[in-house]
Amino acid sequence: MADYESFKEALSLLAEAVAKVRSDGEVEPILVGGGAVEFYTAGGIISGDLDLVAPEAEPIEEALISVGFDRSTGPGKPRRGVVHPRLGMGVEVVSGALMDGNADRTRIKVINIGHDRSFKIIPPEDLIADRVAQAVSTEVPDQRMVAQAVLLYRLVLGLDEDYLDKRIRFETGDDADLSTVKMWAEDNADHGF
Amino acid sequence: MQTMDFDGYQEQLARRKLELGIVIDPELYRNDGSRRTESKRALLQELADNAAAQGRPVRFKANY
Repeated sequence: MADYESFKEALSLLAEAVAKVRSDGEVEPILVGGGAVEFYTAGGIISGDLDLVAPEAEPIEEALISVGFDRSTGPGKPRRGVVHPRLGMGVEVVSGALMDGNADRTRIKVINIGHDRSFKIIPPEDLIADRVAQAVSTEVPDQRMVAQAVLLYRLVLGLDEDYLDKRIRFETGDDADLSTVKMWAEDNADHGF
Repeated sequence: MQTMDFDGYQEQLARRKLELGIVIDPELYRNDGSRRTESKRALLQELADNAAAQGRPVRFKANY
């Protein structure tokens, strides 16, 4: 199955699972991490799994199992997460709040996929800030995270640059800001991202 | 919260890539894996093992 098709089907199943979580009165998870990067780059950067953040992992994990995912248990298996036997994708749930409670939750996006199905995804500004923070967390900036931050900045339309600047400053302890990303974009204009 | 359509947004992003002339080399962006948790490594390994057992390629390349 083509990468895009498997990614879209995995997200469709996620949306179906989210509908069950919602109907049970539980808090919906939010797509973050590599899966969010794959969405915001239209499949340009492929992730092996979907990372979700939710107050509790069990409701969404049980819902994912009900729509075809398998829980990995037993010797040598991961203790967290579920995997889809056919799609070749996994889902891992991190318990807690989005960006440790520092993201503006009104900016979370709702993605409609299929008939009356949707899932929530991290705001692109917070995702970029997360990548910038990872990039500058080492003495020499992690070039892969620099590349991801720049690609997201260039591709995603409608970014709120004031909010993006504020989030980068916060997540990096003022080690970086929006001008850092713009500088990286300019410095790497000939490098394909 | 802003609501978006999946297909419409993906098409918009694909057009944007063309407009900017961006051709993505996956090697530029691949996470080096150094920050991954043990559970994440195990999850990715299981996905790779499943793919091998089913005789299909993994949809991703990961550094563990």
